[in-house]
Amino acid sequence: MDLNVERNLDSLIKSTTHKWIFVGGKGGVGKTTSSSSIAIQMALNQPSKQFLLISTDPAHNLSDAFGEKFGKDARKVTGMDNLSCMEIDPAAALKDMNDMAISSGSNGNGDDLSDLLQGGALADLTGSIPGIDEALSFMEVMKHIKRQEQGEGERFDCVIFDTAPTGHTLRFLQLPTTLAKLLDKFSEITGKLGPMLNSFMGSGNNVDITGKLNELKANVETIREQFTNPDLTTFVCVCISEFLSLYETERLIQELMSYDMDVNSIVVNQLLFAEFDKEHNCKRCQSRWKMQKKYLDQIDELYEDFHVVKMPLCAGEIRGLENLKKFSQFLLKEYDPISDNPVIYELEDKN
Amino acid sequence: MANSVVIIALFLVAVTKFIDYTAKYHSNWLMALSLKTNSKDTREYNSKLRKQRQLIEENHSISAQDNYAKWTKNNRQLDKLKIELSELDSKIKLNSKNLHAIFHKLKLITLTLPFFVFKIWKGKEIVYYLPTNDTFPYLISGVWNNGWLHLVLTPLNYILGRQTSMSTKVGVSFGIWIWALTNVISNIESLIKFLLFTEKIEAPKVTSQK
Repeated sequence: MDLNVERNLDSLIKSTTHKWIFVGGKGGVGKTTSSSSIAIQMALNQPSKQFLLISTDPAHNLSDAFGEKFGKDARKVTGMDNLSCMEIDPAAALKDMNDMAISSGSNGNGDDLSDLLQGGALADLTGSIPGIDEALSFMEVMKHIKRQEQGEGERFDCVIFDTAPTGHTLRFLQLPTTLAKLLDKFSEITGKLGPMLNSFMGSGNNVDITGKLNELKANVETIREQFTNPDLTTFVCVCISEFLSLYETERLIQELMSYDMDVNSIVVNQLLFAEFDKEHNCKRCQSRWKMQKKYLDQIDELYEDFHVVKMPLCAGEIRGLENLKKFSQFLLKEYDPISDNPVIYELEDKN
Repeated sequence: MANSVVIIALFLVAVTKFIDYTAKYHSNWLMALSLKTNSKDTREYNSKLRKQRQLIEENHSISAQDNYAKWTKNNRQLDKLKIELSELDSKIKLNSKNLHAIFHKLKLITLTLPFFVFKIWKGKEIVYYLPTNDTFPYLISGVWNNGWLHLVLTPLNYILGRQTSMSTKVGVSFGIWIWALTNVISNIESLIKFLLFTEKIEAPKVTSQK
């Protein structure tokens, strides 16, 4: 019996159970390219399903990767019927929330709080709070779950997250646990002071704080259960074959395991495979490839029960849908440096 | 009877003072006792600590870049050991803390409370009579012994030449006696501490300013 783990993401790409796929790693290793590639392959291999690719990185790249503009609302990728992209913008999201709050609560009194909100001042203030991006991404996740449960709006079968560099992502993934603890504390307080708090907020405000908190708590608990279910959620680590990246990947994997999150795939990008490239293998490439190979052997030893996918460094930038399709095929079928070598030189210029 | 009360009180005071003077060694004694009673946990802790040191030394002796896999595996073991050591440390400390609590309860039950009860119970018992009989003036002793009538009869007795000895036996109760004893001991302690164990503070020298 062959106990070797496949060196591709075939099982993930063709998975019918996964609803949340996180793609993360150190900065500059190819997270956006990898997450876009995974999303494209999943969409191509499961045409009957709808997929959503969300960027939670404040420095969004999805628009640049696909060569078209995406915004805070999900929009289909040109050329694909079942793949949409979204870039969460904290400032815009907060302004929307403010506008909604004002329109639902406005009673023309012109009190100070309404004036403050109307000016969008609150959005400016809160938009720069550290961690706000993670909080807003999390709210987006909660919105999707709610829509799925209620059968409202556009429904996506699987959401792929192009995450921010490691630290931000870990904070994002801790949110369910952190929020659950916070909400427990709040529930205790509102249980004792609820009616008093309601009266502080004004007679025109009919918000039931306890009810809202309980609803939020239930949603957060649902998300926590989903994120820790290996059939529903998985994390794909992206790295390059260098010490710092690998060390960060190891730290990321250990941290994810402590959150009970499933992680069993590693994508190693920017590999040179110089010894197999007869035409283009300068001294520098040979030297770098030797260094990369040294770490590749270590990766194979350390992560023997992981899907370790080795992706080549291409001659050009991987931008645009066609280039991404060409590149992403190696997630499904292991890259052969001899037979697949011409592909990395076939990338079209994307202006 | 009085002697036995005094002997018991002296014994209890001596034991209390001994415990007070050796207070700073109690932690060490209790820790040593705790280590003996938790020998299994202590052995495990020491063995894991040794393993941790070995792994740290090994990691320092190899190149992380050249032996990344081994270095990372060692780091994984180190992370695991750190958690285990912390748990064992908490367990040992908790056992030690429990032992300290038991010691304090034992001290309370076998020494402090009995001594307190003993003082209340025997507090009014006379343990000592003042040695002289003329501690107080004749008239006052007479009034104590015979009442106010003594004041009226004293001149008559003097005229009639009757000499009556009005000695009053003045007794000291156990409660007062033990209070006085502990105060004297406390004052002697302060004196010895001040004379022998307090560092001399030199008077500051005032330098002349031009």
